Amino acid sequence: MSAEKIREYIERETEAEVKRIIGEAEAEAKKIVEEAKRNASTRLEELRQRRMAEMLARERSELSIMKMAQRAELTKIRTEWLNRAFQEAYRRLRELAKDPNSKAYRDFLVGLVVEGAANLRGSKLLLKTDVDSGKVLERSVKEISDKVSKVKGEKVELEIEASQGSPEGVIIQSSDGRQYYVNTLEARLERVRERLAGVIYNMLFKEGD
Amino acid sequence: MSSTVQELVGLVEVERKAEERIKEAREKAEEILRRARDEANRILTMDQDSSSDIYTHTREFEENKRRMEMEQMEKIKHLNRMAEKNLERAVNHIVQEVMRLES
Repeated sequence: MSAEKIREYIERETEAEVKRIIGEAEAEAKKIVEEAKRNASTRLEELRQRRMAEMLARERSELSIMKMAQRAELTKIRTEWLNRAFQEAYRRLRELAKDPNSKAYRDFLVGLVVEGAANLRGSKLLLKTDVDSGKVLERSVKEISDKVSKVKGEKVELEIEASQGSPEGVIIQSSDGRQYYVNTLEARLERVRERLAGVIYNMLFKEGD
Repeated sequence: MSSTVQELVGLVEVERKAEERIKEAREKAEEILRRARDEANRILTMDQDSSSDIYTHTREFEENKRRMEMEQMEKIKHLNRMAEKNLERAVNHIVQEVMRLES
């Protein structure tokens, strides 16, 4: 073989080898990039799903908290209406107690004393009350005394002690001070609230008539 | 120098150039692979932001929230309407009960 032929052969083989080396490298490079893209796509999908799941959990939790807050808000509104009903009732009762000529309040006050006295022992009772109610009781002391005596089956002596700042209604106390029956408007209202809060609650939020 | 020797020297030079060419090709191949690996790393480490999903999802959530708030407002209005209507009856009942005496 001539030197020229050998040179051409070497150059041809060299070109072929160079082409093979570059070709293989390009093929491998393409494979690496494609695999990276596949992996990235898989990871992106996993990440997206994880974020979605986290977000759903967070949203569920936020909505639950919101629901609880809304329920609490409704309960608060109902309780405010219930308080308002009792406050309004108390206001009306106090207004009634301020009218010295009210027959309804006089009868009620007499009834309060009789009811309290019937629950206490002893024939001498002290009636503690506010100034306005004291005036009403003074005017009816004979009638009250008769009624109490009749209920208790013994002669009962009543003493009235009216003072400024005492709550409306009456506190009936035994003469030795060991027994007493609180029949003030406030105490009676509180007893009604304890007993009937549920009824009033339902009454306030009842649909229809 | 004889022509044969000259030819041999020429062939050695061709061979040397061929080796150089192959060496360069290998270096280029390594460079291609290195760039491919860099590109792969860039793809794998780039910020995989799915903010568009978050946006869609948050919008749905906001819609749910808004709906719940509207429903709550309706419930409150309804409660207040009921209570307003029944207040007088409830107050009268309380007053009656406070004034009801043990017989």
